[in-house]
Amino acid sequence: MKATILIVEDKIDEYNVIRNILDLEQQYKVRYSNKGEDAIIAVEKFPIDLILLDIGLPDIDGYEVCKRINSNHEKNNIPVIFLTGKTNVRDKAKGFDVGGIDYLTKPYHSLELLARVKTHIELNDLRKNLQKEVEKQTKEAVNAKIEAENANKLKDEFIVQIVHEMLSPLTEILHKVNRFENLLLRTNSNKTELENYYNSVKNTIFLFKHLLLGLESIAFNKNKDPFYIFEMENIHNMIFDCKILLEPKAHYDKQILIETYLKGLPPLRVDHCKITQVFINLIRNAINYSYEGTKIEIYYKETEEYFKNSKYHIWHEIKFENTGTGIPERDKDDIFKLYRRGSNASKLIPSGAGIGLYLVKKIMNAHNGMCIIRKLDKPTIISILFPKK
Amino acid sequence: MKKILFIEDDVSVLQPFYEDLQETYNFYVNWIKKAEEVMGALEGDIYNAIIMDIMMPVPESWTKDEKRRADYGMTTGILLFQKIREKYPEIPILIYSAKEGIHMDELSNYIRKPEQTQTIVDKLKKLMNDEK
Repeated sequence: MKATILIVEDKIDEYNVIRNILDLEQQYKVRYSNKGEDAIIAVEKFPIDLILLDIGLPDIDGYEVCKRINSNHEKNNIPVIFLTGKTNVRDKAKGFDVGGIDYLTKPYHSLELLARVKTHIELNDLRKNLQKEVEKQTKEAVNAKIEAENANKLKDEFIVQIVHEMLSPLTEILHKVNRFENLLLRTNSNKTELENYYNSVKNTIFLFKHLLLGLESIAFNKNKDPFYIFEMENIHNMIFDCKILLEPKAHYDKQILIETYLKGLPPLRVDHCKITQVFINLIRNAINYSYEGTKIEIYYKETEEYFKNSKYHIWHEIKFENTGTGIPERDKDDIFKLYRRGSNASKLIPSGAGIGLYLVKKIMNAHNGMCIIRKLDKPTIISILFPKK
Repeated sequence: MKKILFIEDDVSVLQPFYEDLQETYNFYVNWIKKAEEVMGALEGDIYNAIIMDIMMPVPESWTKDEKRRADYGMTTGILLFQKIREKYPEIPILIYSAKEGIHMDELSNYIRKPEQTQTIVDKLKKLMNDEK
């Protein structure tokens, strides 16, 4: 884009001389004012890159023009070169005092004028770019700080949540042990009842173990990948075991039934411990977000589907279907992020620390698999897919 | 037999505690699992004490402002405590919660989960001035 130069000169002959010199370069657009006030208005109205300013003008003098333009354009200084017959040092000094960037006394050589114009426009461009860069970097630094503060806040909330989530199974274990003691002290203690208690204590301890392992995986994320041990496993049995762990909670807290339809599901090469975490997280989420008295259904099917980021297209798909609050549309993309709880989480269940689906996705990725939301609501369907090789 | 109102939504976790309160410690316990049913239960019977949780789903019937003050479930029990206190200034209340403890008033106590059933019962008896 051509730079625009404003010539402020009341004598038309002088103007023509300057104009002709500038035109030699063929890279400047020229505007013209013959009065001081007009020059000030022109600067307001048009983008001006440089001003060639005569000092002796009919209305206000060049010094005043320069002063006013500078005070109006503090941030975006327009370079002003005084052009005048005044050769007195004091006059020159005054020109610099009011904000002029250069001073040319008549007579001057056309090459000198062109050189100075070119230099000052380039310098001013550099200054403007530098200023933009500083502003950009300042903005980036401020944004980074806000982001860090938000991350910190999320982390603090996460710690409070996770402590609460860990205290819950401990509470369950302690009261069960207390109950067990009290039942033992009775003369007519019932063996089946006792067995139920210590079995459920063992289950709670396993759930607690997986809660801790999930936490550990988050730490791994920052340093290195967790260690996976792949073996052929009976997935059917694994889902069944997780179901047993969580069924009492589903039943007692919300009268929820968990049903499985897993016919045809073959053994798969998986990390037993990690995939157990996947099942526990998905079933627990389904329980937490379900309405009372509803059903959770887990079923298997073989699926053919192409994904952008996978070379596989035949899948073993396990669907987890539940009816409850559903996943709000606005959560769809964020729900797999770390520490991100569903935005409706605290309304129905005041728990959940926001690591469940993040972990599920991560573990499924390590199995070349997927975790996807098939349906947000009525019912909510979340699927995990293992590639069929 | 002392009558206790037990306010707690986490059924699977507290079921054995509830059974012990009744069978081992001989309290009559009315277990209320939803915050919205608490005031009705208190109107329908006279209780010697209350054991209650803090984090519970907020009743749908509460106003928008109340839901906000209850932090959408994080502190439902605190608001519920105040509602109970307004109508029943004399009733001892034991808060049993996993949340960080706060002091409510002279007639209440706060125990952080988990704690031995025996210890909870001792504190409850102390609150009811029934230490024998």
